[in-house]
Amino acid sequence: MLGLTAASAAVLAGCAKDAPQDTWQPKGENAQKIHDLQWPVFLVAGIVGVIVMVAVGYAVVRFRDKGQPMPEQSHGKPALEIALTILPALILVGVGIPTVSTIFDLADTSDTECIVNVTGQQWWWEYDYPAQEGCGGISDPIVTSGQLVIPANTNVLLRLTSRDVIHSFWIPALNGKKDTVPGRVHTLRMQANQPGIYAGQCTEFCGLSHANMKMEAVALNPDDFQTWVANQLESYVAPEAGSQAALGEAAFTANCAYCHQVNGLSSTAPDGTVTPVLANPDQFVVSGSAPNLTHLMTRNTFAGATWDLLTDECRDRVWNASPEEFGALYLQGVTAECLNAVDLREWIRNAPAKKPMYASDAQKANSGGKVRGMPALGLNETQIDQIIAYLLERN
Amino acid sequence: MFTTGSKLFIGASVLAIVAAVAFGVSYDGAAAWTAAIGLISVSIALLFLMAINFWVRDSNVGGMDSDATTTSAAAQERPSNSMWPAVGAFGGALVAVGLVATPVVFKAGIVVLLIALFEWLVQAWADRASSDRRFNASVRGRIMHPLEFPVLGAVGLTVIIYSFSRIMLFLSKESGPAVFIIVASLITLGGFLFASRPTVKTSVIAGICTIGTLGLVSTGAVMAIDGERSMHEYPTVSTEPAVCASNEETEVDEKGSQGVAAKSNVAATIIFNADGELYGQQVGMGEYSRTVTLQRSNPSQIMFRNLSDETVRLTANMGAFEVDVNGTKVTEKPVTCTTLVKPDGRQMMTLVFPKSSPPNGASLEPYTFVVPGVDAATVEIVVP
Repeated sequence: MLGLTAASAAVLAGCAKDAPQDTWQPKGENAQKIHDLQWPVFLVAGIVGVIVMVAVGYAVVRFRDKGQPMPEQSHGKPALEIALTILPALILVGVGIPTVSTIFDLADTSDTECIVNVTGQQWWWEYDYPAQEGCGGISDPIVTSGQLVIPANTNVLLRLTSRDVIHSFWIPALNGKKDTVPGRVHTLRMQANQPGIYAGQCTEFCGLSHANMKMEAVALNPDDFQTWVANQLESYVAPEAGSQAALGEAAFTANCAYCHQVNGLSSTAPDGTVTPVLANPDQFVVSGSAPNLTHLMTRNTFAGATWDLLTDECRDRVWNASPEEFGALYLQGVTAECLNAVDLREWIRNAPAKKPMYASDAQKANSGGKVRGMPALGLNETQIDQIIAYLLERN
Repeated sequence: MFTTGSKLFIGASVLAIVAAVAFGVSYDGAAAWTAAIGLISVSIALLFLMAINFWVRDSNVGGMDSDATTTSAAAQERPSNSMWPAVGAFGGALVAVGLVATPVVFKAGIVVLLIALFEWLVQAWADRASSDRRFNASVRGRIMHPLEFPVLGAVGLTVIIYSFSRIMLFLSKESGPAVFIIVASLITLGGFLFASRPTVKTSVIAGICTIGTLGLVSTGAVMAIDGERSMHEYPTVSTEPAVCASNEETEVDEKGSQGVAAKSNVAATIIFNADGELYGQQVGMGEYSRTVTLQRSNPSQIMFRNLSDETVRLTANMGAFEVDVNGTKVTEKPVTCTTLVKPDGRQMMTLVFPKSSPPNGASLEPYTFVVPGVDAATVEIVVP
């Protein structure tokens, strides 16, 4: 009974409706190729498995020891042995030919229309878009994180690497997984049939917060993607003087800008000299990098896509939008009404308490005085309010 | 009544007395007295030995006690021959020498001593198992062979491999392959000959193998004493500004390897063609690009291919940074370059850019790839 219950639970677990990482629901042509390969292989493997189990079961029952005399012992049946060698070989050849063909198809880079560099580090993903012709008119590099934004129905090529340990990039609805290895550049095709958000997860154990190293791919129709690109390339707009956000800019510069880059942010000395504020994460973080927050509120997640920047209601509205409506809703970004201030505030207040990271003094001592993740900054509630007001304008 | 041995001594004693009398009669003076006294003393000693021999009945046990031939300790089978006392003595000698020489010898002596004691212990135990030596040997074998064979095999292999490695390290890079091809061919040929003539005696094969092993070990020992060939790992890149700024050959260029192991998964390939143009290739980014994008804070493998007719190097100008040196602001310009690459050659270098390129990085100058001496040959490096 216990076994039956466990088996039933295992089978029923496969019936979950809200399963964004279901490998049996491809949403792009690359994932479709894998799907077209995996179901016949599963079918063949299943049939072979059932035949073997039935044969073994029959032999166990039919020829069990009932006190009968030892049957005649014979050595070898060439016909049977040859058949049992050739049959599996033929099955393997039958599986192997489409498998190799699919592998080559998925490794093709000749039809690339858009390039994105993807860099893994503990425990988030950075996406940088090199300046390139086409692809929404990316005239200058774009750096973002958390959500990989791509044009739908476009062959996007990801160039994957890592800054610290081996990670693995996997968005099951769009393609298979690919390891990211320091010092090596691996490529992964990415294509989404229609606009929407597709969830993924790092699939190579990479340390303390591996389970919290998520990712999301956002596919926009080409016009919306062009709008997104144009927005990402927009110049920095400083907060209105005297506003809460302006105070937040100062607090951000004093506390966050050591690691987090906001393109265009500058500071003015008492003598009027304007100096760009440039982050130096290589001095404080093991991986040498921290998320670029220039347009933080154009994405829906933070902290390695672990938490949403949107409230549940707003998030559901975006995630459940029809392909036609999705782009407009996504491009609205995070508004004050939709901001998930609770999680963001907790994160800024004490990040290691929210997501396991190596950020304490004792842990830093084991990694050359540098953190893995984000440390607790000791900010007071007023500073947190100001920083959130400032970040809310980074859209 | 008298035993055979005692009769022999009686005869010898009488002969000594007769000789003393004859000497005393024939000679005069002190010499005659000395000889006579000496011979008389000999006869007395012989008579003493005769008495002992008479008393123990010529040490004939059977004659004294007929049961003693089967029950006395002397009647038992003597212990089998053993090398372990000698090995133990050798171990003791090593311990003694090691005490005054070096701890390694001392520790080796301890090990040898312990092994010898243990082996001797087991052999002595096995020798008491029965009066049948063959059975005793099998008892010992059952206990010790599972230990001895793997250990001896490992030690033997270690000695052979170590000897082999010493020979390989002694030989030059050029002669090494030739020597080992010849040796391997001889071994293969020998194996083939033995296989084709199964009537060859086992002792002949064992002898040849022994001679070969001894030759290998002794050659290895000689070459180990003589030392390894000169080996030095030469760099394939330089960070010296003077080297990276010119195409003059330096020691780095002369010694650096032209071989490249990694040819896939590189971040970018930089090509210098016959027209004096420099351009970059990155997967998915087109064939001829004057700009390459490299990820920040990440080791990027760069392959340089020289398709020109000249011998040139690729230099990465990694920006210009203002640093404070003892209160004075100094501009540092880090560079990295390959060794000189011959026409149609290739070379790798690994670059790490911890800072973004301008305008979002601290560098005062853009990052670039250049070929020294060729002004137009420039590729910009963008590090977001």
